[in-house]
Amino acid sequence: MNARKFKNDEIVDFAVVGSGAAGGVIARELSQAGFTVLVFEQGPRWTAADFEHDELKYFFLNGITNDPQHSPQTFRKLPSETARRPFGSFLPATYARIVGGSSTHYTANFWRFHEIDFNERSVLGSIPGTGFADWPITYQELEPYYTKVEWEVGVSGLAYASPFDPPRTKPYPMPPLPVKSSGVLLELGARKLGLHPFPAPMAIASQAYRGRGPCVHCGFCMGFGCEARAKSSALYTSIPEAEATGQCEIRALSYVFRVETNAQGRTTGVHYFDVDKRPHFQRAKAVVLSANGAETARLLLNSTSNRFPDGLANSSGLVGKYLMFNQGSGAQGVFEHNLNEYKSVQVTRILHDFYDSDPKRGFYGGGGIDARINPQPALWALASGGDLPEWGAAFKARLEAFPRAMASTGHCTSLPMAENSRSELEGRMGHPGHPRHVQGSSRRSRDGKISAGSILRNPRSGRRAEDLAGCNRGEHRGGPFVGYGSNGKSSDQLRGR
Amino acid sequence: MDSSDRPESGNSRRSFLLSSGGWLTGAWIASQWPAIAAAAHHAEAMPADLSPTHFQLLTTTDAADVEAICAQIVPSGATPGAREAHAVYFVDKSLSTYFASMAPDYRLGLTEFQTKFRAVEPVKAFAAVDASSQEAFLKTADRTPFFETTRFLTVLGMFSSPKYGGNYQGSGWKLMGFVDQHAFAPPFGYYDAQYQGFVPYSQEHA
Repeated sequence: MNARKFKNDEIVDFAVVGSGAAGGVIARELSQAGFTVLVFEQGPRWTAADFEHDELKYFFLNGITNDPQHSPQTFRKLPSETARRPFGSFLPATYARIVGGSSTHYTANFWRFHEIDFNERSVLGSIPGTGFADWPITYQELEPYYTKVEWEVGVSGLAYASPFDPPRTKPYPMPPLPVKSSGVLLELGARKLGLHPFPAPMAIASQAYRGRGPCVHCGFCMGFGCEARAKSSALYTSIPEAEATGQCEIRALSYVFRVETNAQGRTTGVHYFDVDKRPHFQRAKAVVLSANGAETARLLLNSTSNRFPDGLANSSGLVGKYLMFNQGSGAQGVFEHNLNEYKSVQVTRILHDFYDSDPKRGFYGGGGIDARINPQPALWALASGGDLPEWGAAFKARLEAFPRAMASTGHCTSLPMAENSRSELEGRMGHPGHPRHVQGSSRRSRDGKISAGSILRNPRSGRRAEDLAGCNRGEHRGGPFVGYGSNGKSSDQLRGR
Repeated sequence: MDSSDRPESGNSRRSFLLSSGGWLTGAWIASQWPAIAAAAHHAEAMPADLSPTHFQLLTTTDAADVEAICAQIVPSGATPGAREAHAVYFVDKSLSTYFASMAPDYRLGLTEFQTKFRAVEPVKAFAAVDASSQEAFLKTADRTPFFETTRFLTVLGMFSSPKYGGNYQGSGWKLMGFVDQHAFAPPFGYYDAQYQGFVPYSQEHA
């Protein structure tokens, strides 16, 4: 690899902030077109050998996500409340802090949006109190790029399998991953109900692809980095391809805190902290912000000047408003025989029968339902609520049921609400240790909830699975989860699902 | 530290879990888990071999009581329990290192637990009474932050990687039927072994 190294006083063509799904693609396209590109990433650069099967580290010690200790955030539900740092490791805006961004730790669900996602406002009409709007582009305009991404990134799936899939010009480049027991059970149950489950499109290699080996089915996708380079994250796809041009540098452990502009209103570069929190200035002709829904807005708001007193790109006053939530509902079931869901990728079957909004449901929104792994051992054990036993012999029996359990998740839509926002508590320039503020409304009762529990059935008896633990009550109360979609979509600004 | 900088603690784990219901995608639960104090990154500095020779935080008496509680949470029997998994050593080590910020409250909680137990049983320590007496007392004390933290640490001590000091010889994973292996091949379970293949839908749905 002949990756470039740029000096601070060297004027690069593009400074890209964020090395995730978007930053990686930008870096690759620009560097392949002959531009010089410098990508800033606040987190470290890891290789496949650095990742490990370590639930404690990744889920409880912020192994590769932003850490509240070093990067605190405050949160409030309503403007009238005082924003506080949430207790413990909870962060209102969680994202992967590592080269490859959230595409490094995503589950790698990789479904396309449907046509309705782009013109839903025109079809459904306005919804008072929301910023519900059409996209300025259509699915048809985007289709060639979906295809390009699927082939360049590497997606496994079965094209045309879902009757609800939008039109496509090319099948997936790889066949679907092998079905798991959770997928089989969802498929059997859903077909019995007249629904249309289909093999989940996953950005995980089911066979050797573009210099990467296939998935080894280790089971540690969601929340983890791939040890086999089979997960098609920016870390293993666009970023090395950008570096191979000799025109691109990935500058890890470098936290951009301000975009500089001159008297003409043109950008001159970015200010950033290195790993020792020393400030530097990198000269650049143009700056691309691809730092997820919370951090991109934060950068724009922090980059004030005489000419831009409200921050950059903010003449509308809307920067940082309308943060989208990642809504979900879920169910777990315990079956007669072992599923061993801890093996292999998280999702192998999904269904889109409830994808579109339906006024008959009495609320806005719909989404996809998947069959998925139940959590890793410690998370399975920690789950509680309802009548779940929490200690003693009954708790132990629940632990022993782990191999027989599966989960199903509804990935729901949410509505853009002006009061769901992120902003700065103080006008001061953001140091890595400076709290940022996220506000999330509790007013989301209209948003879609689709339930998964009724689909999980024992195949032989047709009866509902036993122990549908705490199901169908799920609503994402905590706040927006930017870049941490349960389906791993790292397209943060797209509707959360 | 101004008020906006202070972590809130009013939100109990229980009310959170009830409100979050079954949306149990692992990463999401983890990112919300309010029972965890902010943790430093000491994990990597932990030595690989953690043979339980001494306690760093707990006294021997305290450790015996904590271990007895752990053993009530996941009892021993035909399959390993918290005792066999050395969960108490994980409790001690985690509170001494990456969960150190939880330690002061935990010690206070333990003292309070022991004081309350003494009111019931003035002579013997919790660890010294029989299992059914322990269970009966715990039923009166299992809604305290101290117990919930002990349960949290017992679970992590049983099911985290053995390199953290618990899950001795993978005994927690054995209990759960989880196999720590870096590659698997299909079929993965009973139902996919029976699978006949995906049958396409007829065109009328399109």
